[in-house]
Amino acid sequence: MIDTSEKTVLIVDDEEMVAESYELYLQDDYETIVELSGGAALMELDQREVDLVLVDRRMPGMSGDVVIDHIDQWEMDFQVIMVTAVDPDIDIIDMPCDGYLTKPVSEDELLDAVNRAFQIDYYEDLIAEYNQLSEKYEVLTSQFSSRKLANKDRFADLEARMEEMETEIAETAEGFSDSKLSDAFRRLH
Amino acid sequence: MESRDLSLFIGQTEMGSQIESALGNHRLIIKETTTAGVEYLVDETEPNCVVTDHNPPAQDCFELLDTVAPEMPVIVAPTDGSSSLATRALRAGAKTYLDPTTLENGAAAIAAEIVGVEHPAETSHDEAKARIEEFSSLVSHELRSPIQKATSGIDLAKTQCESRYLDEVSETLDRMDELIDNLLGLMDTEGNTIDMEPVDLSAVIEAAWPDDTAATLDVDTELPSIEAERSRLQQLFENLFRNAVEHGGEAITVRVGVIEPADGSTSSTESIGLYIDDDGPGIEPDRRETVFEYGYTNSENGTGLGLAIVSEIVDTFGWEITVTESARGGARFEIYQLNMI
Repeated sequence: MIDTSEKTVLIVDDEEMVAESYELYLQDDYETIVELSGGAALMELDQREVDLVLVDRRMPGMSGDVVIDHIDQWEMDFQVIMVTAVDPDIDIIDMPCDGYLTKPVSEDELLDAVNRAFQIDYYEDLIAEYNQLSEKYEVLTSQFSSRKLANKDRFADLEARMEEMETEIAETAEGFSDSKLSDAFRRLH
Repeated sequence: MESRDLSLFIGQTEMGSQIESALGNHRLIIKETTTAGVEYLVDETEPNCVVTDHNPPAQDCFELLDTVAPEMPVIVAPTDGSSSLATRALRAGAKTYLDPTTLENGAAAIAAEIVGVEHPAETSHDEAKARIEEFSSLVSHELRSPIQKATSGIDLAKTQCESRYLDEVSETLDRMDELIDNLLGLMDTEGNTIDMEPVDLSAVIEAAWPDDTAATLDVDTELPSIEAERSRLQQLFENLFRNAVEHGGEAITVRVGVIEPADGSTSSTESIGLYIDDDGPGIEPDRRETVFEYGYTNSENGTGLGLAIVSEIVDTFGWEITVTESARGGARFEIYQLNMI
């Protein structure tokens, strides 16, 4: 499962008090960094690794939209959650973010969104690894007879790992707090 | 449909063609002279409006205005205009005077004027909708941002001191947030046309039930789909559920089901309505008339908008809602005239 204590969340909001409260909500479970502008956030991202960016959409100077566009262009691999005071519009379809929260955000809502984003990230990693193993399994089973493969310890390890991962994938999908999301992942799976 | 979107332009073909392409699907008949235009009006299908240049003798807006029926909207759009021509044309009965030479895209401006004349309701509705959306966005940002800041401040202060006042301020902020949601929902209800489609009732009810309550929801196992707009239907249930929990507390059970015909038939096509009831304190008979009014609330934390919005949504859908007493002594809302599928 996910070890959240090793995860770092970058909080970006021009309102210092708001950013500090997000830090308060998250600090028991995650490492946090706070930046008060889009520009400072991008500089931080250039210098250190983070796992999730929580960014306010409307900020003076560089807006949250511009920040996430840069993140998208730089092909950075982490989760992004947009926080905004404005109700989402249809334009969020094209927005390169993994979550969207409407202010005011409570502690539970924030933790739920961040946990969920990490869970989705973890699920995607599991699927990617499983697909890799599955490819190798296909190649080996078409190349060798099952009798030959039965004698190979490393093939037995591969099968065991795939079985383990199938269980883990199913459990991860079940673990999403939102039942609709669980259903969707179950259908995919 | 064809006559509805048909207009006549009297003037140079080049300008007419530019207007025609700016109009899109609207049909524009082009006549080079007033005489030809008047002949067309006598012989052919009557257009919804006439646009005319004024460049005598070929195009004479006054000759046209003398000839056409007074109810025919005439837009005067001269290639060589003046303020005195504008005054005289409007006095002679022109609906609008528009000088295309003073505009960046005269043809597009004339096309927009034609659409405005042909579909005045749609145009004003679109304008109203745009204004409401702009206002919603402003309200949303300008009110929610300070609420977030205040909530953040309260949560940070709670780490430094303990005070019941902080909790009370938190509750007040929650209530303000709820009020903003209600106001925005109300603007949405009033400002937009509805888009009815088959909606799965069970899914909407599940989504509308609040996550943060210990109250119980008991839904009929087989609910039909109904014709509605999903987002507003969900808001209707959210408001009814919130109302039940606010008044009945966390111990209540809210039930939702289909009202069957009196003869006991169970066919969904013969079902006559929906009920939402609870075992809370109920609503006094003398207050049942007023619960749907704006500002009515007998709850300390109520905004007085929740049930008013329910009533607005019900009206928008063309349904009817009544409130009575449930068999368990609580409130029972019944919704009729809905189209079950």
